[in-house]
Amino acid sequence: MQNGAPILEICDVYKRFGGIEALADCSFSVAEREIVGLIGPNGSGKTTLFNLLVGYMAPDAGRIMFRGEDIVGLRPYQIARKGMARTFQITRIFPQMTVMENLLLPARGANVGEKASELLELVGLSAFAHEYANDLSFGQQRLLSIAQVLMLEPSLVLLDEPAAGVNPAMQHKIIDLVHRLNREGRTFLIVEHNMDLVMNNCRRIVVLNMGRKIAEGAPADIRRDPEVQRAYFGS
Amino acid sequence: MDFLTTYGELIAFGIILGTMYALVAIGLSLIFGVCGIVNVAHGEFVMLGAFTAYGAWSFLGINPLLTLPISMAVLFAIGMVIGHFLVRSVALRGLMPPMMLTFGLSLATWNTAEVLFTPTFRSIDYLGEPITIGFVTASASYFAAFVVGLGLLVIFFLVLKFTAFGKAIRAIAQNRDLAQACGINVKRIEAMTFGLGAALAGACGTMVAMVWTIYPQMGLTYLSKAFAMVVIGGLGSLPGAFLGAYIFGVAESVGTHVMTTRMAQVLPFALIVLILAVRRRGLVGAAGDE
Amino acid sequence: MSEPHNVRVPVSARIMGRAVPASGAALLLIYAVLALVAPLIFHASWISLLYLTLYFISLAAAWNFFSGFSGYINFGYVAFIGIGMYAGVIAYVDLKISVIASFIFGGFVSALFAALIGYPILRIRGAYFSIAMLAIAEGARVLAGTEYLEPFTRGGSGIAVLAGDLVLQYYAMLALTAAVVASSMLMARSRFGLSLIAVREDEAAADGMGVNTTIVKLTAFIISAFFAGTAGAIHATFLHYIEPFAAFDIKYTMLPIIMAIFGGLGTVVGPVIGGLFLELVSDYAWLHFGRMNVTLFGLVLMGLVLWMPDGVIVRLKELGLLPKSRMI
Repeated sequence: MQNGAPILEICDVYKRFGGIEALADCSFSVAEREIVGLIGPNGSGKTTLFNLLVGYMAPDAGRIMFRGEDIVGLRPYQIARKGMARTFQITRIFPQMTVMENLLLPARGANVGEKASELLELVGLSAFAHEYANDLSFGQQRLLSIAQVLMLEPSLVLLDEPAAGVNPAMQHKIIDLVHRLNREGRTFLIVEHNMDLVMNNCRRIVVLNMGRKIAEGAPADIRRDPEVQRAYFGS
Repeated sequence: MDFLTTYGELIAFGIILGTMYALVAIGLSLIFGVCGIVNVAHGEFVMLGAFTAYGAWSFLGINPLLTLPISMAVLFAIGMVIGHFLVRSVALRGLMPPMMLTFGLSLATWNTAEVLFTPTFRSIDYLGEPITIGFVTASASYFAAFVVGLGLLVIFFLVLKFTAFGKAIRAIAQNRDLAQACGINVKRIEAMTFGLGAALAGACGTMVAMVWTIYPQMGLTYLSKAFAMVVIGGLGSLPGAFLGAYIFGVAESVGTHVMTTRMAQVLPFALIVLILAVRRRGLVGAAGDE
Repeated sequence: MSEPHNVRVPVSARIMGRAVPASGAALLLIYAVLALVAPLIFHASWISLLYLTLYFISLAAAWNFFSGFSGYINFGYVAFIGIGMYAGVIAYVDLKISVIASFIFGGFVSALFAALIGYPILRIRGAYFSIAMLAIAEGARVLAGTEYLEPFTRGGSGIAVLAGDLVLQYYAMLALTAAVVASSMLMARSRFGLSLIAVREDEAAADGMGVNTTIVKLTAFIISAFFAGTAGAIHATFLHYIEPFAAFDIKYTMLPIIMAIFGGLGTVVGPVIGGLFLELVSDYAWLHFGRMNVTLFGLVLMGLVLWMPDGVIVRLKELGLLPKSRMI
């Protein structure tokens, strides 16, 4: 795949729950090595979209192409193994397992111990390798969940509000990590409410409102877009 | 025409059965929907209602229809006490612990009953003469049970819709926290709901004493059947339980004609497994389930 | 080199290899030797007691293998036991295979059954799963007594079986118990075990982490059934007679569950302790309470749920009296 080719293509995705259209006419793509931000007011469908992308549910209509392959209908574990994985808004790690075990779980292939140790170095949790995940602080658990996702060696990482609820120092740490991994070749799609964070770190931003994409483009353009203003502040 | 009469009778009889079963199924579903507890001891409430009626009949000569309010009151009290402890215990958070606890309760209850009452089969011979109404020829007790059961279901529906208690129940079932915020004493209503479910099951038991045979271990049969019925509708859905009870009653009635009695007993289990496997939360999804 | 008792020794450390404490190994060896020579030393009634203890330990451990680690509470466990009983007995009596072969056959048929129902049933979660399994067990019990299966099961009249002797049954059950406990231990320290625990903790997250939850659950389910079925087949020869109500008695779902809970779900040693303790209680109960023994069990279960919901082993670990390894 060439540099800049789309790694993820979302085409006309539609999802409804009972009487509510959670997503409609949703289409955009993410190119390799990009850091794309996904923003929108509460209830705009961002989390639903993430759930659809990793296979927790299937769209009622539309296609999701990951690396040129339609992944609709695949189970989450299959998609994870293909290279797209997500973190959760409310961090989900396995509290009754140690940090090391949390990392060993998704691991595939040889040298898993080494890979895990390296990742622990990277996120700065080496000292806690044999602590139970339960005993980590909130921010540390957040780092653990990112390290966990990285054990899958994903080409596309979906981060769901990585900065929410952690102190600024930890936020910096996470952002630095994202950039470092991005330089190494990983693509990121990030849902965030923290506008500064999104505007300063994402090359491109997609805006959802009430299940529909209302804007897409560079941060400067998004900032000026009247539709976006209306979505967040009302008319 | 003979075919029609036979099936007509079977279906009508199934409706009678369904009415009695509905009392049990609705109780079970109610307890789950409001208290969030799968009451594995529910069958024992039926058994206790049955033996109360039997006791009143053999020792005091009171017929089951008159004993009904008493057995319902007794079961309400028992249910409320059990419910009281269940909803207040910290150790019983989640789905499994109350299930295991009520299972233990069930074991203790039927075993004690078995030892106290001896495992023999008993029944009350009241209104035993067969009469024919419409399609159906059966002992008058069946018709009495049908009328009483229907009456109780109507009263239950009215209580649920129009009384403060009923409204509190519905509020808690829909949104527990909000109900609490509105000043409803959630724990007390939950305990009373447990009592209500028990009372309904006990009512069914009282009718059963008149209509069939009773024995200390009968609870498990009714529990299994009740599970089949609520599963059709989804645990926690009252309309589902109601519908499930009638579907089950008719299926059982037709089933005993189509296959042997022993095979017909497999029916509730086959139904449960089939429905759960095909649609994980029953045919009619309910708001309270997982 | 022995380890101090309060050190956490998680699974990951064990994968990289560490020695088992010398004291533990020695104790185990003594028990093993005693167990092997028991029939030569002890009187038949003691062997029976030992046999029954082993039976319950196997049942508890096999139940725990799936339910304890995956969190899917199998309320229909006795179906595996009963099917194993019938398969083993029918194979011995009708197909004339050897006794030992009949034991394995019982386990195999039970495993096959689990494989067949596993795929649809394991898609069901939580309380519904438990209910579905309960329905399957009860359905099996009723089905075993019906006319359609009579050519095989002899319906309600049951099947009498004269096979092997107490010594054979004892050693067979000893071997099975060792196999189940060893498997649990191996599983607890393996990636497979981690995957199961992940399923218990957060199945959706495990799925998202690349764990094929279906295969993992199914495998543990089938293995659990195999062990339970083999235990049942052995026990059938001990009982000399099987019939539907006894073979599929719900008691044999609840007793292993009580034992597993008592010891601690998802631990390795839990079912062993639970089995030992409850076998003793059961004997005591039968002796002093007679027909009320089920009531006692009901009360014990209630007590356990209220005061020791995580079991004895976990409580001991919390108190620091046991190392916090998952190997235990």
